[in-house]
This record gives sequence, structure tokens and C-alpha cells, in this order.
Amino acid sequence: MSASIELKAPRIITIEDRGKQYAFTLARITKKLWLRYFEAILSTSENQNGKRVDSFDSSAARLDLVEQCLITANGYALPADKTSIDQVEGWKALLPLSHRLGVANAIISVSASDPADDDPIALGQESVFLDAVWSAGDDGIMRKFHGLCHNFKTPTADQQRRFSRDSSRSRVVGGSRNGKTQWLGAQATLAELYDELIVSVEGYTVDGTTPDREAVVEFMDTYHKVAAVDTLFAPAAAKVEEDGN
Amino acid sequence: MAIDVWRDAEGVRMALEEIFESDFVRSRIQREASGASPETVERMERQIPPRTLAWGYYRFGEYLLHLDALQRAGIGFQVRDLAGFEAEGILALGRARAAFESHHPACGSCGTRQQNRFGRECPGCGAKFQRRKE
Repeated sequence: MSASIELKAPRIITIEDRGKQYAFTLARITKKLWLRYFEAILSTSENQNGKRVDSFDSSAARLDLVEQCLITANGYALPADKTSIDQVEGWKALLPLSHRLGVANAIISVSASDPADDDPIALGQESVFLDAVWSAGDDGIMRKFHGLCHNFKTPTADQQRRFSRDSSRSRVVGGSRNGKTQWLGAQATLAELYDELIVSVEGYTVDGTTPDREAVVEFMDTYHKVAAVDTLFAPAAAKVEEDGN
Repeated sequence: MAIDVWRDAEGVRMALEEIFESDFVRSRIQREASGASPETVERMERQIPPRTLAWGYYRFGEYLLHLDALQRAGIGFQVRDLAGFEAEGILALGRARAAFESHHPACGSCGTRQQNRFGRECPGCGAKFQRRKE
């Protein structure tokens, strides 16, 4: 893989709408901001006559995240007496809702991917691969990075237990029988486990060079940390063949 | 008012009793339904008691069952590694299991759990039970 994600560079997200391009510059999203985002996600389950009915809403969390980390935006027509968008009071709230959600969707566009090579897995080390959208290039085009590699130590039974425990924690609102379960999420634990388990990464740079373990812990985007460890703990699919008889 | 499920040991105990009970009915149906038509199986599955609590109780109960299975397999954790609510949860699991085992005693011959305490014959091995004289 040739292109790398530079973890310290500001992120620029571009959106095209009705033939015009809009660019959004974001500050580095800190762990605190990501945890605030995860906590604001509403993931609930209700018991309706013995059946589980789930609902999920992250739109308020996404809008808040963008508002917190947006530095500037370009491409919009400004009032006659203004020369830059930050002279407009409350400019972030004036951006079209669809643009703000589009920016949020770009920064959370991270998914597990298949390994880029055919080598068997080395014992004692586990590799997780992610695909992610990060930032627009100099040409203003957003690209997806493929096969971002995170090499981990094998988790201990205790680390596995902490993940299971914190994934199973919830709060019930409205009574233990008829109430709604709010899932609390284990993202904070996942980020901690990443820092404990990470050995090295490929596909990322810090100041232009491959980061050592300490730099990975310090500069890796928390959303990538959470996505990588979540994948690490996900069970691998068994190879099952249909009976031909 | 919100309830922290992991601190509500009594709610977790009730959820675990429901899990034990529904697993018991489900496995009995599996045994009895071999060769039955899909309609019959569907009708039998209506015997599985519905879950009555908020969903979070069952999820936490399943975590405690996993923790318990690890400990039974000898993969024990130091007491200092367990949070207070996990220890309380394991105690609640013990109470739920004891209640389930009391409602469904095991056959002394083959170990099959009985439908209730009043059966006269084990459906697993056919052993006859004597009623205890009062």
C-alpha cells in the first residue's frame, strides 16, 4: 500500500452538492470528543410482547461531533459585508444539515476489511485490517484507504472478559418490566484495550514516518482504535460446507 | 428513573431464572419434536415462556453465565479482578440456578431434569419415583 494516513495533519472533507464543491477543515478529533460522540448515540431495545425491538439513532451525536471539531468551511456564498465564514455569527449552525451529516458520515466511514496479503497469521500476533475515508487530497477528491493494518498482541482472558462485561452493561428507563434498555456501549473500554494490545500499524504516518508504539497510542484516531479492537474481538466465521447429499 | 442493570441483582436473578426455564422448555421441545411437522413444532414453541423483563437484564445475565462457565472450566479470575457488581451477579446466578434446580429436580438415575417435582416416572430413563411419605 503506497498512500498513508497522516495522523497529525488537519482533515479536509469535501462534499459535492448540486455541482458545487464544499470543503470542511476539521481539527484533530480528540479521544474526549470521540467518547462524547459514543455516549450521545442512542441505542435502545424494547421488549414488546416478548420480542426484542431495537432502535438506533446517532444523528444528534454526529451533528454535535461535527460542530465540535469543525474549524472552517469553504464554498458557501457569504453576506456582502463578510470576507470569511468565521465572521458570520453561529456559522456552524447555518450550514445545511445534509452537509453537516455528510461530513460526519465521512469521518465515521471506517469498516473492517480482508487482509491484503495471503500470508498465514503469525502465532501470538493478530492483525486487523480496516478500510477508511480520511481526508481529501490536494486535488480535493476524497479517497478511501484500504487495508490499514493494526497488529495486536493476542488478548488475554481478562481483556476478553472486560470487553464482554462492558458490552453487556445497560441502563433501563421506565421500569424493569416495561422499560426501555439503553445500551451503554463499550467504546471507552475498546480504546483502552487498543492501547494495551497494539504492537504496530501499517498505512499510517506521524510527521511523515511510520509511528512507533508510543506514537500510535498517542496519535491514532480513537474511532479507528475502537473499530480495530471491535474487529479483533469479533469471532471469525467458521468454514462450513453444505452437505451435497 | 434509570436503573443500572448491572447493579440490580434481583432483576438479574429473575432474568436468569427465565433464561434457565426457557432453555429447559426449548431443549425438551427439541427432543420431542424430532420428525414433527413445522406446524407442530411452531405450536410447541409457543410453550416457551416469553421474556418479561427489559432486554438489558438478559444480556447481563448471559455475561454472568459466560463468566460462570469460565470459572467452572478452571479459568478462574482473582477476586481483586472482579468488580463488586460481578460478584453480586454471580451470587444472583447461584440463587437463580438453585431455584431452577428445585423446580426441576434431576433424576437420580440418569440426571434428566424433570418437568416438575411431582412426576412419577423419569421421561429420560423410565425410572419410577417414589413419593416421599409426609
